[in-house]
Amino acid sequence: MVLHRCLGAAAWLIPMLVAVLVLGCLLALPAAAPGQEDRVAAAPWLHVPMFLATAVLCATAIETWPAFSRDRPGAAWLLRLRRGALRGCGGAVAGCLLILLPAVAILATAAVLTVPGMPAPRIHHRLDATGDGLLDATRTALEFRGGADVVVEVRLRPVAVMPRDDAPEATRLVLALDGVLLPMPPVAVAGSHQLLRIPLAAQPVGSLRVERVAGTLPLLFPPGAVEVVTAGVHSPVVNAAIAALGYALAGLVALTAACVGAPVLALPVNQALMLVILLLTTLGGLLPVRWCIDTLLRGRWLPTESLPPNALVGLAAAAAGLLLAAIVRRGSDG
Amino acid sequence: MTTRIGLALAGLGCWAAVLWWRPPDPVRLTDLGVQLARPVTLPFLWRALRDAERSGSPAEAYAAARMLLELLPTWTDGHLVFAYRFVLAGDELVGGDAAARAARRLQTALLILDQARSPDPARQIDLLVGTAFLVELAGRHHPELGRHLGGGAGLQPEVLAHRYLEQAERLGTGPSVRELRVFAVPGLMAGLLRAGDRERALEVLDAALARLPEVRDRQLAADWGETLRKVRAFLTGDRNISPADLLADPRLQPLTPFLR
Repeated sequence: MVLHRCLGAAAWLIPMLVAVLVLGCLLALPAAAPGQEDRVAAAPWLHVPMFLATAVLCATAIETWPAFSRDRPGAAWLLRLRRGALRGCGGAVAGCLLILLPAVAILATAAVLTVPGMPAPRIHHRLDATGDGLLDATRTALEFRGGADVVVEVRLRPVAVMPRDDAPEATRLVLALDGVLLPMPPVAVAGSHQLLRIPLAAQPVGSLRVERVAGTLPLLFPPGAVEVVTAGVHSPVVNAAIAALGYALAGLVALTAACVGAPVLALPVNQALMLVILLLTTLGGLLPVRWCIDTLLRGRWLPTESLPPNALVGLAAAAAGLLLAAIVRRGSDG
Repeated sequence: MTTRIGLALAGLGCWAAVLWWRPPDPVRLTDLGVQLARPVTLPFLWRALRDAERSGSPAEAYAAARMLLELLPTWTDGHLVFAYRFVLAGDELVGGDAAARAARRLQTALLILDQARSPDPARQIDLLVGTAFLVELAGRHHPELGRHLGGGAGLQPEVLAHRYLEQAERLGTGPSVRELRVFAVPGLMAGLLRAGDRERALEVLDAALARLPEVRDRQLAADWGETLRKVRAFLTGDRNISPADLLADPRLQPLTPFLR
């Protein structure tokens, strides 16, 4: 029943949201310098439709299944018939997610196919420094081990530290790939988290040497501060479908909260609770929803990215919520 | 039921009459919307900006800053600081035609700064003078910049900066507006230092020192030059400079957190 109603809601909602999203993505991107385009500027045009789709489908599920709230007409019969721990709410959540996941995946796919100049997803490999990763007056060169992949770009994003004794002066670096110096003038790092992108002709990289040739700013290279972008291109549609999992997880957590409130809350209150949880997990950043979309729009291949810890926290919260919902239901029925 | 409908219609009629008699000012209505949205959205926008600065590109960080500034339209220093950082330090690509990229970034920033103009003449003058300074600094960074400005026809940054200063002069008190560049420098430096961009802050200070001969009051110029040189020396690690002496100068008040 929930599956059917959610499918019906998605059938009229998703085409409308796709139209809004496509128009927004085409109109919203500001002018930028060549090679320095910002695709993340289109992110709000993904978030709004995806949030609306999630909210509408979750609200439909709560409204459709009588056991999702207190004193619904017809709920008494249903509660007698469904003796499971959640009185069928678990099945309703699963039914809603079955529709929600493809719905948000369609929206994300529409975005990656329409954002002009969308970068093709590539694997970004972290290179770890040998030693403590600090480049200062006592240590003028750092070695990073590569995976011998064919790469097209090297990215540096060091953390700059104030020098202890000297006046601060931008540090200049030269780079060597597999022992061969790159033919370019030294690059300057003047501030913390300053991004440097060095495009390369596609070549395998076994090791990268970063050497300080001038300047006084000590530079720290924590894990992730040096990355190589591999040459292989992956499917943007698969990447978009994976990014949509962020909203599916937010929907799962919101519906789980509604399951907990189901025995004691009336329909509008439980829907409001679901909406508040959805806002906190998406806009409030409690779940990695924004990270998923930003990573997608930055052209990074999601399956190889390290998952933020709050994704696992979200899954754990959903599991704990379902357990709590069963306990609350038993208490209220007993 | 009929009474309720009648009351509702009368209420709607009253609202319609008020709106017809005193139509709302769209500017004030927008201001109200911005004021209402500000407390809810600002924390998220600050976080988005911080994330973009830490893991995104400079263009992404400037786009995030722009969204933030739309909610803080009167924050002139903020508009200028983010534009300076984007134009002067926003080139993450190594190699290629850096001047062409700088020209595109400058044009983007100028467009956004033009949109940030306000009906308040004082703020508009600050913005125009800051914009002229930005164009000049960009020209110093990239000597080839002029070739890529003016729609490809070529326009020297000094000429473009002069146009902005002329606009500021028309709004202000004539040529004295140009001297603002030299005296407004602590506010701009404070914004850049707060953003952790010491290099850019020193660059702005050096540009102000180079502009000192334009100040007509020679004594004032000499005093201010001396003060700015002391600030520079302190910021570059000269511990012979007493911060207390610098903090005693009220003109350096924006730099207080960085002179301790």
